[in-house]
Amino acid sequence: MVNSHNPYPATLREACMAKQKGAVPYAGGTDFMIRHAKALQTGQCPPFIFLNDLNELQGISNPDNTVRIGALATMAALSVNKEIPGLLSQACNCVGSPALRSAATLGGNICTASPAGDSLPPLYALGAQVEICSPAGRRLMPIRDFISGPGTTTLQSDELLSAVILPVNEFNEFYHHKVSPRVANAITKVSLAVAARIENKRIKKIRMAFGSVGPTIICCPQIEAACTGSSLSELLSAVPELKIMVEKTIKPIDDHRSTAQYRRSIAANLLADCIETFGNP
Amino acid sequence: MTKLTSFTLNGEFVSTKSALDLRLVDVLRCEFNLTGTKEGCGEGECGACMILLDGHPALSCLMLLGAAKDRDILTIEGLRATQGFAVLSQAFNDAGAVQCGFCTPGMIMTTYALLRDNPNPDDGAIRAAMAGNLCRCTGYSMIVEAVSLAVQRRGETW
Repeated sequence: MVNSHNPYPATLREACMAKQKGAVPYAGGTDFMIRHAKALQTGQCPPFIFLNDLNELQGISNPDNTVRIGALATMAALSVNKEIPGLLSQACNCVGSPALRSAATLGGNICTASPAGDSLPPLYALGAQVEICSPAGRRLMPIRDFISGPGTTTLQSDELLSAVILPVNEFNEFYHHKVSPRVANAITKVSLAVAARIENKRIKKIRMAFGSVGPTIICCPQIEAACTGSSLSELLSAVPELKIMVEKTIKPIDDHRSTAQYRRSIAANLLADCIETFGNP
Repeated sequence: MTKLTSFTLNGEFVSTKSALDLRLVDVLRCEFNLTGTKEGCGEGECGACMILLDGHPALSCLMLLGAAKDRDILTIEGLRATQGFAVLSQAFNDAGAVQCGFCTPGMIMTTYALLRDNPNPDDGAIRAAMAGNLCRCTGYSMIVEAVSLAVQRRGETW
C-alpha cells in the first residue's frame, strides 16, 4: 500500500484534507489495529495519517472555568491528571491494561463510539462538549449529539475531533463503577458514572450515564429530575423506586459478554450503591 | 515512492524502507531478527510483544511501523546487555517464574519499567503493573515473587 498523501500531516488542516480524500486517522492505534487487522495482513489497509505530530491535538489547558483536553491525551496521562474531574480519571484508569492506556487516546475512545467506551459515561455525566475542526474552522457540540449510534458519529469526512471541553466546579461529588469479568483487559458489561452537586446533604444537581446497556450511552433525565431537590436520606428511602426507574430507562441486550437480565439488575444495583455511597460518606 | 522510517532501536539509530503499515512486532522480528519479542494473541491482550517505547511498556503488535518514527525503542535484546537484566533473569529463574518462557521477555520488560519508576512496589502495585502480561503456565504467584526478589536484589542497578 502506498499513501498518495503525506502520512505525517504537519497541520490539522492538512490532516483534515487527507481524511476527506479517504485517509484513516491513526492516533493511539489500539482500536485501529484491531479494526484493520485482516486488511493489514493482506496489505489491503486503507491509506492512513499519523496524528501524533500535531501539536494542536495535544495538551490540557484551563480556559474560563473549563478544562480543554486535546484529543491525543492518553488514558494513562488522564488517569493521573489532577486538573480534570476525578470522575474521568477514574474511568480512564479502567481501560485495558497499563500498556494499552499509554497508547489509547481520549479522542480515539470517543470516535470509536462503542457503547462500552469507558471514557464515555463520565463525559456524558459531566456535560462534555467536543471540539470539531475542519478546513472551514472549528465548532463545538455536546458529546451526546456527536455520538449517533454504536460505532457511529456525526463527524463529517473532512472533520477531525480536536479536543474535549468540560466544565469544572459544577459538581462536587462523583461516583463511578465499572463491572467486568476481571479487572484488567476486560470490556465493560455495565458501568455507571454520576456527577452531583450536593449542598447541605441535599441534591442540587445530578447527572448520570450508564455504559454498555444500550446502543449508545444511556442518560437518565427522568431519574435525575426525581433526585433533584431531595435530601440524601429521602433518596436512600427512594432506592426501590429509583431501581425500577433504571430498569425501565436502560436498553440492555444479550450478547457474548453478558445477558440483558444480568445487566438490568446490576445497573439498578449500581445506582443503589451510588446513593448509599453519597448517603454514607 | 519509498519512505524511510528512522528510530532508535536498542540504543542505535536505525532506518528501514519497509512499508509503514507493517506491524512493529513483525518488523522487529523479521527485519531486525529480534525474535525475543513474541507475538502471542496479536490483539494487545497478552503482553508477549511488550517493548519499551520512549521508556514505557508498549504493545508492538498494536502499533504500525509508521508510528515508531523518531521514537526510542528498547527490546529484550537491548535490555540483555544491562546489569538490570542479570538481576531480573536470576530473580525469575530463582522464583520458578519461567515455565515455557514465551511470556517471559514481556514480563521482564514490564518489570524493568515498573521498578525504575517505583523501586519498592507492594504486591498490589506489582499485580496492577503486570495486569497486561498473561502467563498460561505458572499462575502468577511465582511471577509476583520474582518481581519481589528483584526488588530486594536490585540495589542501584537501574
